Amino acid sequence: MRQTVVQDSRLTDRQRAFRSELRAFLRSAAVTDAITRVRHYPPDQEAGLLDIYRWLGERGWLAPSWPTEYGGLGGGLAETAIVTEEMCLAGVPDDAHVLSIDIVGTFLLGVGTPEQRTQWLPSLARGERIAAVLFTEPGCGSDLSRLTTRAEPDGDGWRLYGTKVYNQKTQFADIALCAARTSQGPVPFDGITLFLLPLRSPGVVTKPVENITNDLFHEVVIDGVRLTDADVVGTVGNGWQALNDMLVLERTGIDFHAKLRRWLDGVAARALDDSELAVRYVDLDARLRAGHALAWRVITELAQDRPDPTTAAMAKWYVTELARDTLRLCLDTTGVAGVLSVWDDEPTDLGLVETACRYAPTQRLGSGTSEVMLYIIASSALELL
Amino acid sequence: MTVAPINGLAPPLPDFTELFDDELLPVIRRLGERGRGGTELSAEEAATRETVWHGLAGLGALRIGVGALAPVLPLAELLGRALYRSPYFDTLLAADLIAATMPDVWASVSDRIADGELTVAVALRAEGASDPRLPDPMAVDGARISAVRRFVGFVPDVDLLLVLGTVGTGLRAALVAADQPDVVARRQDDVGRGDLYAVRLAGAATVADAPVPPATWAAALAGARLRHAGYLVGLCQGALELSTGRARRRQVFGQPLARCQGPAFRLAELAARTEAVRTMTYQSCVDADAGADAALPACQALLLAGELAVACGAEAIQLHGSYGLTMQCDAQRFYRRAVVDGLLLGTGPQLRRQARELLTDVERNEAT
Repeated sequence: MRQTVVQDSRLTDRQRAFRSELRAFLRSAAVTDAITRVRHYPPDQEAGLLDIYRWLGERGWLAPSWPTEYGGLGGGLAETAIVTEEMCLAGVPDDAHVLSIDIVGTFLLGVGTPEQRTQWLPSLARGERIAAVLFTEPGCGSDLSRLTTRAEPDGDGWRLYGTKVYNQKTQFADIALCAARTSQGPVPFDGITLFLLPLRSPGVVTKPVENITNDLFHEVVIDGVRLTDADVVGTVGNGWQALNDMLVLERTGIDFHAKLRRWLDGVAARALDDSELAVRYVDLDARLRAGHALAWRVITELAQDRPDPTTAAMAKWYVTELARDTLRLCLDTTGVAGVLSVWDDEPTDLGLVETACRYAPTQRLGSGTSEVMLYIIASSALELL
Repeated sequence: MTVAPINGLAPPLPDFTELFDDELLPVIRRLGERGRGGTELSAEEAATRETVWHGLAGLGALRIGVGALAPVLPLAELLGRALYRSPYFDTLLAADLIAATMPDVWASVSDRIADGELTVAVALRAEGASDPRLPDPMAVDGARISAVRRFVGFVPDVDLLLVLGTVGTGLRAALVAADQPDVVARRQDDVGRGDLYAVRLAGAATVADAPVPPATWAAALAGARLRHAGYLVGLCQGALELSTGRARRRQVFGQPLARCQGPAFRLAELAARTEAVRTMTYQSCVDADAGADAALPACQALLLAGELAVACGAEAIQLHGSYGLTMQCDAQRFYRRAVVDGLLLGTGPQLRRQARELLTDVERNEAT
């Protein structure tokens, strides 16, 4: 299958060397065999703690931007983006990695206590543990200011009550970063606090919810789990600000881009060979490259401590809006054969396009919906709304 | 709407920004626009245009663009926002070609070009549908050439024409003085009401001529397309600024139009698309200046920028309502100019065709 070479002229020589080494590793026989095994998982099996994560962790590559004391390489955000990008391009399932390293681990590194970092970061960086995220609730998705999960004061600690939904990899995770309301006030953004919630606690009931992807959703009911101040991530009541600061990291678009590029690469040869499909391929290739340039601009600005949530929203929106056209081209190129899953006896390319059908809608929903991104752009950049 | 500098590249020099500040923009956008049917410029308009050109040149606009792409882009955006018409981009393309193919000539004209004292128009197509990649035939007889060229910019204003054409199986460039009896120009009346000319060269005397290796023309065309994409990105920014300003001021159903999610989201989409193409164009210029082959990114950036410019112009008209169609409103001006400027260095099908060839080459190379 074609593997479009990603331009990386913004990178330093060292970062380019890191990408080359990582890419070679991800294309090694051991890794490609492992990826193929995962793609052949039976319908009731889901990618969790993968060997590939542990192999990357052994090299300090799973969380390369983290300090070496926590299992990283002491690199920067560019190295993190390179890992995410190369994993997605290679077809390594990255959800557990994004949740554990890019979100929970990065929160702990940014606003966690030294004890929290020491306790959790090394094992996450080694790929030996998974952390989940419990933000979304039945009554609130993109607008977390409406969350109702509450943390009631209890002596020197707190008791959590509430229900979280649509969280993933929870069945594999030991802990979860959980947003809960510690106070009520007239401003809905105030009074939100982030906690590290041990998922194996009495009082945590997890129920799987099947969906169209290979990754189960979960409904997590939290019924009076007791936590202490040591479980608070950041400061009490300041969760909204921390969430907004950190979510920019999630909205670079770099992972979404790499997944779309992988789908498109899967049909490149056949599409370019057909005059009508080639026109659409050329357009999509151009738009993906533009999205890629914008995504890397966001990363570069973040690495230079100049985060711009508006540019991040533009990158996330622009890239993920290409999902539908990319999928349509894939289907028009493969024809009906593209809808056969890996569980069929005669799948096309191990069900790559069939999988894309099921994951394409997640692009415009995950990490903030397209509508939220447009709202951010319209209000912040254009001063409308 | 604010336009942030692209990371890693210098913002426009303050003097350029001053020349194209918000107060002057409406004047510059109308500068040189002919009436319906192609009336001539008034002496006052011609003088103002000359003044702006010398202002630009005096600030080093040409000097920064000779031999480099990325430093030009902030200025290219400013020119696009201002819809400023001039032989600027043609002169830079000509400079690239003269420097690469006529070193003796280049030695004698480079300073004058860099100072803006010598301007050049590039003449490469005989027909509107001709592909810029493959300039149309011309006849060379010793030191004289004969050819027909259309859609050539600013012929009466420039000093030289750089005529590109196929001769036999090869490509040649001929430099001719624009002001000579054997060069006859007729202004073409286009929807942008601009400065495009049909030129008949009947045994016109050449200053110099030289073969142009295909790779040289490909590199020069790619550079020109990237500069032009930067100009079109600026045009998009200008149209968006016009639209957002209108949306904030215009009251509909008891509230500003800006408060309505439909139009606000449409503008947000165009803003995101503009920023994506802008970033891609910048990055491609930086890469090209560092020696990378720019043929594919240039096709792609121009393809996206050309289509987006028309979309931004059309949206500007839509948000202004019928007022957007009037000559008092710049919305129609952005739209008309986008239609023309988006085609000058390749139509959508031509750019897609070339991009397909380049992508297929990559595919074949990877397969072997």
